[in-house]
Amino acid sequence: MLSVHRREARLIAVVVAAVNILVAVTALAMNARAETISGISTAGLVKPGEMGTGSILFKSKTDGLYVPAPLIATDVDIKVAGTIARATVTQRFRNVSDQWVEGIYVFPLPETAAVDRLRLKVGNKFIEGKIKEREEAKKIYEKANASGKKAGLVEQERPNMFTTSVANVGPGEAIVVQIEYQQTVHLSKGVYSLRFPMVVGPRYIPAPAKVASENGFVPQDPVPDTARITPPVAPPESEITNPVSLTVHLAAGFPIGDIASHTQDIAIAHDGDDAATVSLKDGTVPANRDFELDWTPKKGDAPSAALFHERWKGDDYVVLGVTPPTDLPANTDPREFIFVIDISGSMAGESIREAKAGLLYALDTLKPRDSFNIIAFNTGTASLFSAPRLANDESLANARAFIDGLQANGGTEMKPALDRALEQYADEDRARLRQVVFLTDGDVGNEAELFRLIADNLGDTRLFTIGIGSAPNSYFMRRAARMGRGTYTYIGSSKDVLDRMAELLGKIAHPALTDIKVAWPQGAKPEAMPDPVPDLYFGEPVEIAARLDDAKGTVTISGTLGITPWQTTLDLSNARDAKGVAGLWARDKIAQLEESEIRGADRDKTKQAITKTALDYGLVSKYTSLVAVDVQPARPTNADLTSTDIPTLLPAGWEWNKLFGGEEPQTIGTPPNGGSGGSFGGPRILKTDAADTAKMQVAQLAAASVAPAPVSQQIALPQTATPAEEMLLTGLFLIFFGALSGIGWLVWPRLHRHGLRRV
Amino acid sequence: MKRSITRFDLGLTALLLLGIGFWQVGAAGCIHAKAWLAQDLLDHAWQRTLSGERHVKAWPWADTWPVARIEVPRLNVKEIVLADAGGEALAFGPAHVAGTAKPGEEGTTVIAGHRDTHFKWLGDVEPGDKIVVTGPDSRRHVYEVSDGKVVMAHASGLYPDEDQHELALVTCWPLDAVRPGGEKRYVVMATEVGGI
Repeated sequence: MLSVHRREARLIAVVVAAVNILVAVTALAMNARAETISGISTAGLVKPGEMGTGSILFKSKTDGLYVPAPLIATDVDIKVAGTIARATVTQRFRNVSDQWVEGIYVFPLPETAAVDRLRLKVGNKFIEGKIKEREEAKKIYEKANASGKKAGLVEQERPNMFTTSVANVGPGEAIVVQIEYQQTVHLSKGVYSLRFPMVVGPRYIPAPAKVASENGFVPQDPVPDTARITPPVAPPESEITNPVSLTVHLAAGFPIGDIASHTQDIAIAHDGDDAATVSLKDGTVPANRDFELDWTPKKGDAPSAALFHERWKGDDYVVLGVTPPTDLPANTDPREFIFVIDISGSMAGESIREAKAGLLYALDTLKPRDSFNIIAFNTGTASLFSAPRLANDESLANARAFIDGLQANGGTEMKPALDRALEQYADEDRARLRQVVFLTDGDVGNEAELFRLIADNLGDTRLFTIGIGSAPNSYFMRRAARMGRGTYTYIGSSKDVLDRMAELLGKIAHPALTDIKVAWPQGAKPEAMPDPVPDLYFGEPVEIAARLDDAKGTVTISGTLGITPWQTTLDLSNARDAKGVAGLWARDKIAQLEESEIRGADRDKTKQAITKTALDYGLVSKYTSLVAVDVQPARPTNADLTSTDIPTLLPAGWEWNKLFGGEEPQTIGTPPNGGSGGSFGGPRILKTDAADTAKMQVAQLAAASVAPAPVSQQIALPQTATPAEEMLLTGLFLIFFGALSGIGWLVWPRLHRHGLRRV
Repeated sequence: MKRSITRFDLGLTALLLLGIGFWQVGAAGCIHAKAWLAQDLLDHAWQRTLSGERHVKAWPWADTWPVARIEVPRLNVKEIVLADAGGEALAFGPAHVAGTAKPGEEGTTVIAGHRDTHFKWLGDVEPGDKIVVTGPDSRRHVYEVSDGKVVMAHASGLYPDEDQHELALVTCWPLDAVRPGGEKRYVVMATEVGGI
């Protein structure tokens, strides 16, 4: 009897204990939740003793163990035929650890690249990648990753930003990934140029704001894919260089005059009159500055038009480029200039000096009847005058002093600045041509939001973007200029500032070529991109890609230069055959679809159309990826795999401290969104150098709290929630278990009797 | 000898848990009852304010008084706003944050309210909604909601010396959190579009 009584008692004791434990656990859980909300996680910190000098480490699956990031070396081989370039980018991942790793590398390609091939080299064989819808490709890759097979995946984050992932790189092993793409050569004022970007500049991610949407009034993250576009950045004192070697085989199609690069030292080997091989003088360069190559035809040998043709899967494809005449006088009507200058932290160093020099030069070219204003922005926005003023001695002196005082630091809240630049004042002279000149490195992550703003607010204004610095976000620049019906100019180095500014100001002083129409041969059933053809500025070629049933006959291009009509006719039978023309057309079509989405076309429909085009032509897009998987498993199933991001370099001339820590940033004007939350995608970095722990912690803290707003004079907001709900829940919880105990108390005598009877 | 659990222990636990439980539920109910009842009493005090009295206390020991009435016609909201958003005032109604512009004055008028009582409706406000704030002088100021944003309490992005006529309605973020005491605030901004 006694034993049974004890058993019952123990049972009840267990129930009571469980209740108490539950109460305690719930309370703890609630506290823990509160801490994760308000506290800063310290999980990323590393003990310096565990780090080797000059390497970047990532946490492995085993606690307390770290894996050095795989090293990456890139080789670029570009073949140029006329105005079409075909590039092969070979990335060599080397695993320097004794663990199996997965490497993830975020890298840039030209924003006009049509990426159509991926090959994964395992041992001596190449595995060809296949184009799939993005989610499907990801699934295939993940499956291979989990089953120990070697695999490669190329995804597009932005038209100029891609991610390569390689799975199951063994200890000490190297894996080679080869990516190929097609692009057209840029032509402006008789200069042909080719650009290969080498580094993704750290992007500024603006603070989330609650905004109106179709589904009502919801908080909207301006950059939903932040994690994917903010790779870790190697700190300056690390020995990581991500070396790049580069060769350009140039077959210009005309006798070459000059070949030059303003960004790197090059070696040129001429091969006859119209061909040359260009390589880097030093063999390799660190991946921290974009490569640009310019060439010009010999005097008198400039071709008047470029015309290429490809027959592909039963259709004809052509790309054509024609330069309108450049002997017209400039406009002398007074204009209104709004100069917008980016003074965010990413502009610190070389870039801000270039931008200031460019701006001062532009002021010198203003005529007394022109009016102007200057808007500067970082986390906040400030303008020189409250409304544009005439360019007289006094206002110009004010402007020069204003420019002189500008310093680069803080965030890149571009939206309010653009908003203000595009704002029309009620008392403004409407007859004036209004031109906004926008100097920035464009290193923002919320491109789509800004494009929409431009498309919606442009009116009669024209927006001209000037890309500054060693690695500007050209995708943003080019697309923003296109939405702004202007043009994009790239200033690659401080030596170029005056030349390029003069070029741009010259361009926009002349009348644009407008109302451009293209007449195709009868019955060709053309689908031509872009449609409509945007206005063109002085010295820029009309560039069109088209799909035709049959490329026979002539095509006539016409337009209006100021008040003068212009027209030219090309014979399609003169087209040179070239590979990849179909891919270029498909790329233009995708760009056109993306633009229509920004302008408000149905998102599901454009997604469908982009996916179909990309799959048909085998191109990587935001909805399609290339994936390659080895058939043989390589990693033994009992070995763990560690996933590591591969650090990118800081673009040359950027100042680490202005981005990631150290100095307290200063802001101007009123920061939007309370100035909190925006940040450069940054140091998820486990820094190096055993002696240097203090700096490491600075980097960590900077990542957690980049809050550049001046907080002192702001209105502090009171606590505005009652504990009612918490009390109610706690109360109900306690009542529930109280009732349970009560029932126990009630049935106690019966249990007791029951026990007696059984003995 | 180790003492085993008796029926008495169990009964005591039951009483204790039930006691605290009912006390918590009751207190929670009180908060809501207070919030609801106070608005009724305040209505009366507001009518007297409109007729020219100043600093009308709704009940003798109150440390706050009505300074405005806020209406959102679309959501059928009509509430009395109290002076100074200290803890006490907020228990009875939305409160005008001290040091900010009065309704209709130049600057930003900031009104705060508890997200689970008086400003429960703030999450339903949409851009374009009209908000009407009536001052003690019976003048009605009409504001139109422009946008909403989430800010940190200490970095609100609201400045006392703005020159536009704006209204900021503030409550705690996230709107559906159980525990009070978060660092984030939800701010709905509205611009004055007219007055009657």
